[in-house]
Amino acid sequence: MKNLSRRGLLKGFAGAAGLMAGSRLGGPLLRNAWAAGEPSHLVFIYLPGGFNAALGGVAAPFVTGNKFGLTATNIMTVGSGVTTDKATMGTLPAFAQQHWFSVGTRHGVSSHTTPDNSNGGGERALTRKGTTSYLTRLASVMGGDSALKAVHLGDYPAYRTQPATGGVSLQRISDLGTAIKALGAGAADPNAPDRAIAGDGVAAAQAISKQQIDANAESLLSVNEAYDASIATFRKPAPKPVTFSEISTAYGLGGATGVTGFASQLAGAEVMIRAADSNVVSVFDSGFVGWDFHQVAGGVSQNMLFSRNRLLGAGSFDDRLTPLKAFMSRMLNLPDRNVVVAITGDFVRVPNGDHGDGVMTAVFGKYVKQGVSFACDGNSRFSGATPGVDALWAGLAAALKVPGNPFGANPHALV
Amino acid sequence: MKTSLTTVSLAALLASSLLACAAEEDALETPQPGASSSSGGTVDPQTLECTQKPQGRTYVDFGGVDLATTRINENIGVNRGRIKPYAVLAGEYTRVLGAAPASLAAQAGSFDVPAPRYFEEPRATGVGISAMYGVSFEGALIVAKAGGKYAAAPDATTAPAECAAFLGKAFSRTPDTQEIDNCATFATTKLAKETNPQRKWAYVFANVLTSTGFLTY
Repeated sequence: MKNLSRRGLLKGFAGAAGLMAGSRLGGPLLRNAWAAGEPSHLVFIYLPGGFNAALGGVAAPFVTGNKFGLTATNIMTVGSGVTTDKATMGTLPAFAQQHWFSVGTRHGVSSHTTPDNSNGGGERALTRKGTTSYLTRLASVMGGDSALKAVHLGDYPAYRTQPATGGVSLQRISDLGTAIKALGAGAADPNAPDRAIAGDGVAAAQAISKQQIDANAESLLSVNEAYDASIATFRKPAPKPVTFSEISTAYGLGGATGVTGFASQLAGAEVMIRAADSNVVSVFDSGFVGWDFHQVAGGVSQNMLFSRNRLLGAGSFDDRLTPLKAFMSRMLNLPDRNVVVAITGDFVRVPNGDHGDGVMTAVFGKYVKQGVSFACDGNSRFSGATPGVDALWAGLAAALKVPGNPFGANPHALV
Repeated sequence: MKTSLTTVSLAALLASSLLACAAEEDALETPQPGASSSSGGTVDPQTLECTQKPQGRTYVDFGGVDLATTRINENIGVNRGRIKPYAVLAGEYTRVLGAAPASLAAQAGSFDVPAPRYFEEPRATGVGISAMYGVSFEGALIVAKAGGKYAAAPDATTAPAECAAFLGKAFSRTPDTQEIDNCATFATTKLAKETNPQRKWAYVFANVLTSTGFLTY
């Protein structure tokens, strides 16, 4: 199964690929979410295929009947109603556990977002609203002066289909070494072009290209937006140094700069927060609906077993938990940044291993309280009162201290 | 039977393709009046639109459905531009500069290089454009250092002439006045900070090599 990667499959559908959106230098629509005197950042970690509620913070209801193989001894009580799988999310750093809020969302969708269902599915439900993107919308309302307000780490599929909002769109990062260099966060190179002149140079290139861009406003949209992002990046003063060697060591990348797996994606999230001040960092785990575990043994869903294996790196899976813990340890309690991490997926799994119609999203942040709202029950059902997707993003905006209510009222008391 | 059905279907598909708005010539540089534009044009770029009366006949399939019903057409010269894939850039740099910049080989990670045996339409990113500028500057600096005529900084006389020549070479066509003006304006107004004449020229050429005339087709 490992060889059947989502990336590989998607190559076959490349002819129908949508337009990517590059990041643009959009003026802040509101004051940056620096209400606490510090920049805020959302790291939106998406696990395509499904996200067992036990990983999201609701494990206890499944002990009755030992659904998913969960028992009183292999789950742990985190606190304030949060319970989880002891071997995986139960090993997150103590600070993360103390600031873990589980948000229930009933989106009413039980299918996957796939190339042949690109306008439907759980992923689409959680990240898109009609023709707008929650990711770019949040990055836009957060404002600020980042040249790369919304970035994407992963190869599928959000960055292809997330429309820009207010001049801010999702910008894919595929190589950390190049990104660090482009941001001016690496070692100074005396032979490289001066950053300010290069900014004017790319602006001149964009002006030279105007006629073609105008004539190809859709097919060359990514070029035009990339010009804007590049100009903004060059014109920004170089940030505090972020060396790739430090990042490589912290996340065990072995010196490889390519964004090819979960560890490099989280390493990239740290780079983009520290060097680019990105508002929204989208991390999509690779693998074609890689969290879609339907296996059943002895009448018991094996979804937790395989989810656990996928996190721990058992069998053919890569270790995802170690880099997740590294990221949490390094970034969640910074004194001068408000980093909020949301981990979610298409939907929860129901006890027979099939698809639910909502999801329990695990939200972490230094201002996030420990708790649960609108938990699913022991059959993975959500009550009719469970809010929808707007409310999830309203909660995330609250955790990020975004002024106003850009996604409406927040029914989740997570801050 | 299967073969004949396939033949009929292909013929119908081919014939219906004649319904496209206009001749399928490469009109990348010559948009029609009213063509879509993201910067002040008359048509929403998200909405493909055909404003010219289609020519030819319509065809229906065996179920009586018009084969052209769901086809999205738009006018000639609109949205035909495509980004050159990373795989051809070394050759393109060699064509213009005489050699590919050494750092280009290490930049594959900045581009969506498709897996073996797969095709993926390239897309540009801000980081990729920034990387391309650095690569282009490196290659252009070698050219500038090798050419004696670049020992003097660009001025109001040399900048338009050299811009026109380099644009023509990079774009494989005669540049228009607007392109030359934008190139020359940068050369004469934006490089005061740089004291080395050859580096000044390198910036000018790097701009051209980061333009869509070079990066797209």
